[in-house]
Amino acid sequence: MSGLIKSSIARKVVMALSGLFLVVFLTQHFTINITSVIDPETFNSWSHFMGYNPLVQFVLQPILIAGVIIHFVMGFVLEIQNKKARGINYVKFKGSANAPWVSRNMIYSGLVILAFLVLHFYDFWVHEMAYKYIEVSPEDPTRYYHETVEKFEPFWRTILYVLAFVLLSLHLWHGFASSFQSMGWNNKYTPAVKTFTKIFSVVIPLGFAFIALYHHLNPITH
Amino acid sequence: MKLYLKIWRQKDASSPGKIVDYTLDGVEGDMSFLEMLDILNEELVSKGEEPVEFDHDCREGICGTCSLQINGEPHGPDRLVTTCQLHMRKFKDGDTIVIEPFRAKAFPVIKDLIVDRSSFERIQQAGGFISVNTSGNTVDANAIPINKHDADEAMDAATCIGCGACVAACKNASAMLFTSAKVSQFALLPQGRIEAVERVQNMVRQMDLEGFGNCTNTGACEVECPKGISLTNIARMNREYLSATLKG
Repeated sequence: MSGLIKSSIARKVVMALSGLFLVVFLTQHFTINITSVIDPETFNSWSHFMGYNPLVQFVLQPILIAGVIIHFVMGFVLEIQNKKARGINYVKFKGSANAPWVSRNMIYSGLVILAFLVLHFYDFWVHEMAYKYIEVSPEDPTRYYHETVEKFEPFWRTILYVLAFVLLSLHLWHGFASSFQSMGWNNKYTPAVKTFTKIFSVVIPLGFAFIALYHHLNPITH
Repeated sequence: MKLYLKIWRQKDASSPGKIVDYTLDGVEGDMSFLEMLDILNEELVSKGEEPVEFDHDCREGICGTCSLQINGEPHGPDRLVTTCQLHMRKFKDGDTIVIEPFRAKAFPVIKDLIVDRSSFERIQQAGGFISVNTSGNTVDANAIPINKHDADEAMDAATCIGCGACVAACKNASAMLFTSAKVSQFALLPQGRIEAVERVQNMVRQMDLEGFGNCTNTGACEVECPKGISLTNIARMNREYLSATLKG
């Protein structure tokens, strides 16, 4: 088992498993967010549940944060090893001749997503922690919808979110199907996994972008 | 045709190298890439200059000795061919061709365009074999019935000539395609199953020790492989490795 921890294949499996975990989380996040467009009351009640359920707050949330940290720390470790493995760089390297741009630039799409996460945590998570644990404000199951819509009032924030979703799409386009290959899963279902990856990596980020733009264009009038 | 060549020249493993420009006239489309380099070398020798050193042997595309990164791609712009089978008709009069050695920390340059690929030999030695009694009681391999699909897949994996184009093409200098082909050619056959657990563990350990990079599934190796070794071999090796390690 000690060999497993040190091996290149194990590191890729860690990348794959944490990535797939984050894909599941994205799906759940999107399902809740889209209700803010369809039915604000549902959005409020689901958000309140997520914000105050002890299982979500004290078990699932730490697991999610650990998943994010493991994914990007391992991503950096692999990138550093991979750069070292080349040694001296080529004078001419035609990467576009044999591999798509998205697969060759996962570190850059990942870095943009990481930068976005910092902004996203500042926007929502830090605010939420301050509300509950610093200000110790009372529970208010009706506050989430207008807090969310207000966040998208500034144009700059909406644009940053949409740009991050474009990079998220590119990251998923390669990463989702690739994680199955890393875990040794390449068989007759692989073409279906690849097709599903393409649909998922367009639909989910496009949906997130739609939500951000929708709230920007439909502000709450006081 | 007239070509402008930019070739990596390096005196020895410890000296720094650099790109040197050469102009070569009279190149015919029917010449192989290595014949073009032969002509350049004849010119250099006649001028009293040091010829460009490069690896070659069978010149039939089957031995895996020739290498070269040509205009940013291992074995050049053609597909499913080695450098010795790449013909100059793939280039045009007046083209500039950048010729470099395969680059990887695990493939150190020996001289000019020649790299040391003994790291592949060490991976092979770590487990790329089956132990067979050859003292006179050897069992005929054909005595064991093997499903044709498995036999074909094992044969496809076994066509890997170990040239190193997969490593050269990979942005991470990963040797996963090579190692997985060598693991697969045995893993698919009953004779190879006996030592399967140790084989995959030992070969992957050696691959990591040599300093190759990690596979990020870009698929560049599969595209550039002169023998068309498939990425499914990498998935098979990952499966074999995970199951072997969890068992062991």
